Amino acid sequence: MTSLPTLAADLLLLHAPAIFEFRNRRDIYFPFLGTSGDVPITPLYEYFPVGFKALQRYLRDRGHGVEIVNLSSLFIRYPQLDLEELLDALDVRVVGIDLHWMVHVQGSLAVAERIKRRRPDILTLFGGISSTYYAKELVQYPFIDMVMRGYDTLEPMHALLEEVKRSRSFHAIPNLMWKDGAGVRENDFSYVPDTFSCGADWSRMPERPGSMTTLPIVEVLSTQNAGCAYNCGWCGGSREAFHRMYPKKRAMARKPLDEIRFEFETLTSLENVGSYHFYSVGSYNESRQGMLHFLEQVARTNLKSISFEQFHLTPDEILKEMARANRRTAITLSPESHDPRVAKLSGRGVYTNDEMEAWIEKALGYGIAQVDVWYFIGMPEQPRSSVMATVDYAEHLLRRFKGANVNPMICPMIPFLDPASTFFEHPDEHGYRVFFRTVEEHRRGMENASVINRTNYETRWMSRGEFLFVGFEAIKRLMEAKMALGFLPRSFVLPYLKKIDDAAGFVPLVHAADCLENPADRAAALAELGDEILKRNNEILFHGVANQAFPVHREIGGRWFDELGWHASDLDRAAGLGFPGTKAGAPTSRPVLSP
Amino acid sequence: MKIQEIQSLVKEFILNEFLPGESPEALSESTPLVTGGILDSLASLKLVLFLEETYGITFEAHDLDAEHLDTIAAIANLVLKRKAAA
Repeated sequence: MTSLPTLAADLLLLHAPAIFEFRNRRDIYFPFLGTSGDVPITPLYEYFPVGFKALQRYLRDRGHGVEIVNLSSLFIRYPQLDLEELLDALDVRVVGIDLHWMVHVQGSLAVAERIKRRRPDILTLFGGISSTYYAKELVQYPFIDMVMRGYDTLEPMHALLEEVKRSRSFHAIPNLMWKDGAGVRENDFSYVPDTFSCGADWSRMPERPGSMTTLPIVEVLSTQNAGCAYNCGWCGGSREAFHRMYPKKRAMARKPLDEIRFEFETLTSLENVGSYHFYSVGSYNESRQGMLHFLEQVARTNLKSISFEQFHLTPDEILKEMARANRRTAITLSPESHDPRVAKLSGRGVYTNDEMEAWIEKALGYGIAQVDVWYFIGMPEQPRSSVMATVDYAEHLLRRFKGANVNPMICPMIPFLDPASTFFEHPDEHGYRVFFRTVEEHRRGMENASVINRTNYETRWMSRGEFLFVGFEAIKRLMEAKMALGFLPRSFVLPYLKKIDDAAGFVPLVHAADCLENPADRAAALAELGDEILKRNNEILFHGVANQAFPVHREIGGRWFDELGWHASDLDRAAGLGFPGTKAGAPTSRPVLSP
Repeated sequence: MKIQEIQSLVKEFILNEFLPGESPEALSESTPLVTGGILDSLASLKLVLFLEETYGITFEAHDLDAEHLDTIAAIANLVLKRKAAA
């Protein structure tokens, strides 16, 4: 039984948390900085692929009802609710679950299994990059009915929904892998268009909870292409990875210009567009003409600020246009290492440090407001000493550009090396060792208590036990340098360092328990740590996020991907918030689960 | 230290850094800074750095929320509180 109103749709796009049952978990530890990147998210990776937004718009325009539910965000905000309550309130034909990044493998499979058990009438469909790579294995799971392969699945999804409504004959739907009484059917992987996707509709944003007191996270992003012109060995979105997955000669498909224009037009319709930061993913793949068109749209949109990812050092003409398009333009470089050899081996290394510094000076002179410089841990020929030398160099950058917004950052590549990436496919040649190769190995891997045992690779130069600790050490040193040089306030940095120290001290305890070979001993050791694990998990998962770029605590909610499906007031009611008697002990919307 | 002095210094900093060219009369002690879109994440970072350096204080993590930073009056009160606790 559920007290939620019915959520009706032809297709429900559902995003699972990295670990499905993360609430009250005493046997899996989610440490601070336990995931790569600097997106303001928790280790549950509550980010869903922006393709959900494109699918929703495209299919709605063609008469299909499409809703999005981010289960991760929903369960963080409403830990009192159960999946079964939500499933009972669904009137949907198909649930589409993303397995785009492998980090969601455990959560996505667990959710699909529960859907099939509770609602066998609903078709379960998987999609995304990792789903495409692992389609044959995924479709073997008894609770997965179909896998839709492809970097752009708009047309095949339209065809699929038409068939679901009519004859339910799936033989002619391109890219689909599915099951019937005769077993697994593999339709032609023939829909590989030269263009990529459609523009997302940003005109309606998720509601921000009224109870929030911290500074909001107000950001949108866009990706203008699928595939890549470049070939970073660790990246599952690289040129070679694209060729491995898709039967297409050219490793690039671009979003049409009018679709990009549509995205900006919908942004412009937002009342508070001036408070939004826009993150342009992979804009290094834009042609000169494409970039100029993009910048034209930026200039017409009164965004607060914008970030552009750049592979090469941006040429002068484009730099000037970027600065002209928005008064707070930021550029994100990712040389990965200060050491040109490591940078080259990781697929970068297209400029020297001297060239980069001269370019930064020029970019700031042209009016670029900020330059972020990213370094990565887990690259070939990169031992701990190399990482520490990168931090030394990052400190040099902070000193040289003191007073300007030049922000070097570093993070370890955890927990996964992307399937389909060159290092994953040919680990020995590049000095890598891969621990999990199949979906099932990844799923089981994610259920390890220790984040070290959840990591799917190591290198000849650093064990998987080292990445996290070298990462802690590197980030800590860099944050201390930023504090000492007046780049970041003490009030921001000190709590951040405290979290690192706590995680660095606690991970070894959990890891030691997780490594006990005897299952009974392991269970007993983890049970002993259970209260401490739960206390820390609650802090990390339910009490906001703090990222390196802006290391201050911010509550979760209202981010572009915090789509909850139901109206907040319906969820409040179902969770018993503000309605004494309906669910005892849940008096506020701020979940605090006691150990 | 008087609260008016802090308010005046904070106001001057906000006008110079985040509202260049704006008339001082447009910014009062009760103008909403966070909810009004004047103080975003980057601006709050600069403001906190300024307050730390000017007054030699460090804030508690829970100090840096929208409520405590939303007006010049609230910011000045917070500075006084942290000065007293130092």
